Amino acid sequence: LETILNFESNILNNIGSISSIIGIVISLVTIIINIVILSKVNNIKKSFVRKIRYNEILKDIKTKTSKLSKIVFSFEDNKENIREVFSEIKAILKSINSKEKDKDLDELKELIISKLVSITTLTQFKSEEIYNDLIEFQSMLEQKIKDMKWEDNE
Amino acid sequence: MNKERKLINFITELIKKTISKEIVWEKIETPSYLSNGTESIVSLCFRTKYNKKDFILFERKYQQYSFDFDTLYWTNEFKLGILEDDIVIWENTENISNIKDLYNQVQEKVSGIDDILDNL
Repeated sequence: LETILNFESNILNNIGSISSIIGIVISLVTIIINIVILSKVNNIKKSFVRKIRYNEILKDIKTKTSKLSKIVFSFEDNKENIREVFSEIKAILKSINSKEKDKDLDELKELIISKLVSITTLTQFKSEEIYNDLIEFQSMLEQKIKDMKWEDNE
Repeated sequence: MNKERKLINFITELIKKTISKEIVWEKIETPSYLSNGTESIVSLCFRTKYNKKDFILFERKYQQYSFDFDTLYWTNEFKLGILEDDIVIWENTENISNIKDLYNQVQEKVSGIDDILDNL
């Protein structure tokens, strides 16, 4: 009788151990799945915010370059207006968070800011050069936004 | 200097010469092959001669799919091309933002609105 009882006791102990192990494994798997889901959600959120921010910047830059295109080629009559638009553009570019990392875009942004900061005497040549830089920045940004649309859905 | 930047500089030159009337654009009938057989619309076309080449400028409207709203919507792009024997043998494939500025300037010049406003 004692042998039978010991045998049953062993079986019950084993079942208990196996149940504990299965419980631990299920908990670990659930934790891992949750971490993966949270990381995916975080990535989607980051991508969504980046897309909205880039669209905002593009809208602002487009407004300013369009204004600039109407005055930059008649330089002598519009010196003060050009200076004013440049100052607004400088503020927009400086507001772009460096966390939004796209190396080529970031480098061009820094180049334009440095040109705008270093202007002492505004010349027609310099103004047109900065206009071309801004068009390059705008074109690059438009392309990035187009690419992002496909990246998100691939 | 990359190709995009060279094109930007070239288009800026065209804008300057258009404003100073060094180059004159004319409105032409849209070549049918620009939209026939496609789902795009080209309603207005301009042409000029520059550096012994015939240039064409137009706005193409076409439908694009929106992933966010699961629907088709109309969008547009501005194109600069080179004509030979009335066929577009080249058009820009790069995304160049100041073509729109050129298009706006050409529209103003060809429409004659500048002259009307100057005579007020």
